[in-house]
Amino acid sequence: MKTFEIVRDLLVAQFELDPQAIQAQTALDEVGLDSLAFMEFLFALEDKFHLKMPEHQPQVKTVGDIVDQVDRLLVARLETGQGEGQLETGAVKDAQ
Amino acid sequence: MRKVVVTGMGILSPTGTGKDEFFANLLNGRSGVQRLRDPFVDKLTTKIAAPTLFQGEHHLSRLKCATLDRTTQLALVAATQAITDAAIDIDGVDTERIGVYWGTGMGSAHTVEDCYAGLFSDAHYRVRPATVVMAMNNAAASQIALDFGLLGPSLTYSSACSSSAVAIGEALRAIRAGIIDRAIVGGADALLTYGTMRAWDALRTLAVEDIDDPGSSCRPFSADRTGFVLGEGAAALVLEEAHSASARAAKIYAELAGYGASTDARHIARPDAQGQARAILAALADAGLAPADLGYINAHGTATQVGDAVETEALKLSLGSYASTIPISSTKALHGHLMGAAGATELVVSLLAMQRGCVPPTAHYRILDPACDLDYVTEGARHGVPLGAVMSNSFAFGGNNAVLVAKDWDR
Repeated sequence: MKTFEIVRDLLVAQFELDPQAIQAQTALDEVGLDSLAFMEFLFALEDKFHLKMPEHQPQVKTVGDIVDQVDRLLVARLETGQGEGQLETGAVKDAQ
Repeated sequence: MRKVVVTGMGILSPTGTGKDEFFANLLNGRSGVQRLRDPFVDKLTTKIAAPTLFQGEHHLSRLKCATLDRTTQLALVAATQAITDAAIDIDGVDTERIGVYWGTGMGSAHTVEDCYAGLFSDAHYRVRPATVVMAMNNAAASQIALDFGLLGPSLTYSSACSSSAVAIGEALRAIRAGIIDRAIVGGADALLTYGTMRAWDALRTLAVEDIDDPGSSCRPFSADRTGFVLGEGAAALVLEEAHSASARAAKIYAELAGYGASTDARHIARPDAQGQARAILAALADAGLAPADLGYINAHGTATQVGDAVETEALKLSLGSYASTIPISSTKALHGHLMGAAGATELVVSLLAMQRGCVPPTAHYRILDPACDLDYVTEGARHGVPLGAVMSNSFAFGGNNAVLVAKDWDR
């Protein structure tokens, strides 16, 4: 499963959003996700991908921005050989 | 002096959602008290409470609920009910002249407790980013203002059991003084958490469970009373300056006519009849009414041994011989003690009693206590009774007393 699909499904599960309304270019505030809700969502991302998300993310505006950031962190983890566990999905491979 | 009227009411309580279901259950003596099923119940001495059947996600989006404590969710839905009931077009009125005056005792107990429980037991616990804005005591007032675009003052009052009565009384004064023309008022608390319940357990003021019928465990004014039952919920009202309400042809429930506030300054927890009597007299004087004008009193009536006897004494001190002729009931027997929401909830009870000419009973009364010898409406609801004017008492820990008086708008 691609990272986008995982992120979309997480958004749908956590906030009961319409999956059809979520595209890579969808702005977070367009689906009602303000900065506070986004910060709460970081926990769901960390749990799913076994990552530590940066606390300050002013550059994240769209769903695609989240996907890009997750992918960058996953790639960095693979390159450094560090990580908190094996990926449960083929997110990096599929996304590349 | 500018008069203030009530034009909308909303309630989420252990005895029902919405004013009609809520009041019907009170008249029928249907109790919201029950044995809790939470996993922590085994660790409690008192295993009963009065929970409100409420899931925020049935009323608000999951996205919205994600950053609102249960208390704020309850508050927001009750306020929405009240504003809908008032049929007020917010866009058509001056929102800078609408305030939010809200009461809460514990604030956001669930958020605070969840955070501390995780933080103190797990070195890797992640504190939720929204913790501060969810937990702050003004979260509910702010959220109501935010959702409805209300630009006047949004104020939060926290004086334990009298919080929402104080909030309502202070809004009454603000409208009279011309500071605002309208206010969304009320209170909310959701504190049926393990830590909070253990704290109340330790204070030994909670009712002993009636094993045969847990719903009847709280017995105000009865000689065998053992204390109150913790509850949760929210109640909201819309207050409007009378001419503003009339100008938009609003339905008017009653005039909010009087507010009396006092402090015992005697003891942090033990109530004082003198202090309570001063608040009662102040509320009557504020309303320009005499004891003979009152048709019903909703007592604070917590069902503690001391509390009910002291309130009875205060009623006698303030009302003289009229204390024994005015119907008095404590509806806490059925909806429990809603803490920060209690004053607003019981004002709603009083207003509905007056509007419908029905006096709700003091349920579960069994045995006469010589120290409690007034008319507590113990035989069941009374119907077809014109009340004219009603009073609601709220007497809190800290010796904080707040009394509200309302009268028929047609009077």
